[in-house]
Amino acid sequence: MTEERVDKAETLGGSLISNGVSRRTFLKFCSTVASAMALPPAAAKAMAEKLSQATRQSVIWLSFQECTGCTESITRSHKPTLESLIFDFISLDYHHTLQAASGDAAEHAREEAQKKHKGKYILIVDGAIPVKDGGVYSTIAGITNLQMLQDVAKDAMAIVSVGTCAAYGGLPKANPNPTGAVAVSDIVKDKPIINIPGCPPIPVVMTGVLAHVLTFGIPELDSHGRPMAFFGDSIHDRCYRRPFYDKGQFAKGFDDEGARKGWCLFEVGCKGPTTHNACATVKWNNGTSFPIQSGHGCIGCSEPDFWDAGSFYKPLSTGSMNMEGWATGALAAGAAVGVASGLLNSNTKSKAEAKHEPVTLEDMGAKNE
Amino acid sequence: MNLIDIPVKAMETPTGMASALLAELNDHLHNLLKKGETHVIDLLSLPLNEADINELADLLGVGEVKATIKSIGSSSIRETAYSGIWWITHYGDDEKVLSELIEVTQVPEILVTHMDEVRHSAQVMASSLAGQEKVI
Amino acid sequence: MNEVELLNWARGPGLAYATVFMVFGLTLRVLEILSLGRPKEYAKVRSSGVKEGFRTIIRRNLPEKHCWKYITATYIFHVGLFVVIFFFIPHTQLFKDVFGVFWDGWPNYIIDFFTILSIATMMYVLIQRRVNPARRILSRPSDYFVWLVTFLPLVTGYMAFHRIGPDYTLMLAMHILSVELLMVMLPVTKLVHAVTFAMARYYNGSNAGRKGVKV
Ligand code: SF4
Repeated sequence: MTEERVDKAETLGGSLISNGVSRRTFLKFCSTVASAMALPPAAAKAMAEKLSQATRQSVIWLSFQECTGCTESITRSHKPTLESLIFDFISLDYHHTLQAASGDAAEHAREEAQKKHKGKYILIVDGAIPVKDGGVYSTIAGITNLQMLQDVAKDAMAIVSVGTCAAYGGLPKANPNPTGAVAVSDIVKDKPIINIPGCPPIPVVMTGVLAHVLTFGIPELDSHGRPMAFFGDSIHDRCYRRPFYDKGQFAKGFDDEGARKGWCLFEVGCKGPTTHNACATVKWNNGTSFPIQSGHGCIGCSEPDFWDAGSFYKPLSTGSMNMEGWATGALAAGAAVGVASGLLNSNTKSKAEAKHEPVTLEDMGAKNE
Repeated sequence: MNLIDIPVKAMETPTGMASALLAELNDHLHNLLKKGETHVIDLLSLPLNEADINELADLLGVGEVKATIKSIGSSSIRETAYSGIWWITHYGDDEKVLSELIEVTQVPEILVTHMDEVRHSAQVMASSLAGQEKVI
Repeated sequence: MNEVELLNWARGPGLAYATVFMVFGLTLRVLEILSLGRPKEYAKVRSSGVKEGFRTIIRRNLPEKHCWKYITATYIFHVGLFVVIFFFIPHTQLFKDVFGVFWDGWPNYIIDFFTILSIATMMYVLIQRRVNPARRILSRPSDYFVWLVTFLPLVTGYMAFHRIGPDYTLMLAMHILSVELLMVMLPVTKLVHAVTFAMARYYNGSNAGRKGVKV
């Protein structure tokens, strides 16, 4: 969609001005990103300088087994928001949901970008990759997702896995995983991969990470490949209901006294303590609110396998499997075996009694002392 | 009713951060004066509550410059009563605060017209002059 | 296996296996012991033994003068364990979930107090086992093992709640796993006294009583 601009190899700074994005908007974008990422404030200026010197970064966006929610999240607004400005900083050479071209033309655009920016483009992936039965469960233009990922990843500079599906397998990978879905990192092993999980991820997190990659390179990542700036703290670490948790004051339902008083949502299933994301600070819909603020516990959507961690409404301290009946079953089985062995024992005992003879001192080992 | 029954309400009382910040700003003013070093403080990254921010605003006072930038959402740039200390608030398109900064500088970065833009406007000016000549 | 998978396993299959094993094992052992009944009495029965039985339950609970410090310490950690296990609010949620019974938990500061108390007294008891010659000789490796199995859930739980250690998810997983170890060990080690202590004492006392021994 922005191919002509790339051809001019113009710097971003120049091209933005002619597109009506003022230098000040640019700087404002950078201060907002720097603030959200907890970068030193002076980094905003450096980021703006670097961005304006850069040429437009070629980006190929592949969507696999997904719901398009991630794309929705970043583009959701009909007004230009600051976050969506990121699209002016990159050249989105292929995104089959967003691009106007279709069919052969679309695939050509991808191949061309791949050739022209070999080794320099960023690959963004949303959606998991089904690998069972040769990957037949999801294809685009007759190419399986698996093939396409391997092919495009080969010449990419770096990969950004957007959303929990691409990062960790997400919903498609949930039990029983009928399509054999896996994460990008299960397939591509030799490229830097940044995971931006979330179902969907927070827009400013996607924007911030992309801006960081464009300017300062790959940000510091945690052990699950997530940028520390956004995923370093758990929801619980930053939760405003934390004082209630610490005191042990919990809502027991969604409309009881505790819920009305804004108490902690642990007992109604909040997974905030084990979930790392920026919702509690950055919030959603331009800082309006986030799930816990609107009275619902965190479901843990930015963690691997969150679908398989049991009910969203059962406390973290309980089991994730439905154990109703298990304990009673074990009790019954224990009782049965216990009684059986009791019968066996009493049998042995009565036999022993039948054979009972008075004990002499010799029997007790007091031989000839 | 015992102690545990009393629900906690986040009380917005100043934490004393404002005066600590003032001391820091004092250092930065001296740096600007002696070495020409500018500095930026990101208020959103500090553990300040609303009362702290109000207290800080009161302590810094209102100076003589107030500028508004209209880009995507507006931005307000105000010099405080302490010359060289500027208070900058960026709003999103829905009037939500995106970032809130204090800059210690002669002119805040965002007010200075960038040379790229000067170049661009020179071009536009030239072409509109050329257009006028044709008309005449 | 990373910490998330570990936690998911601990909360899922791990908890299910441990619960089944513990409930099965404890029921089996209690019923087996009860079904053994009394040995045949060759002497004349001198008393019903009921009074002596109950007396022994109480009497053996009273600290002896010569080792009251040690006994008091063991008391404190037993009470502490009881409070921490059954009255920490997240634990009450677990009992509600697994056994369907519910009672109110206690505020966190009380739980915190008992946790620290239990940890401290357990350490004291361990040290006593080493410094007192008689206790040292009586202690077998399994005694240290059951001490450790009881101690680990306390420490990991305390660390998880207070977010000490590298990562909360990992600490929580460790806590749940250590509890599962305790649950599995409960029926197969001397830890079974958690459910058998009263009946064992009653048995000894009433047996003595029936033989006419003063208890
Ligand atoms: S609501 Fe959730 S994240 Fe917040 S304090 Fe309670 S458990 Fe933690």
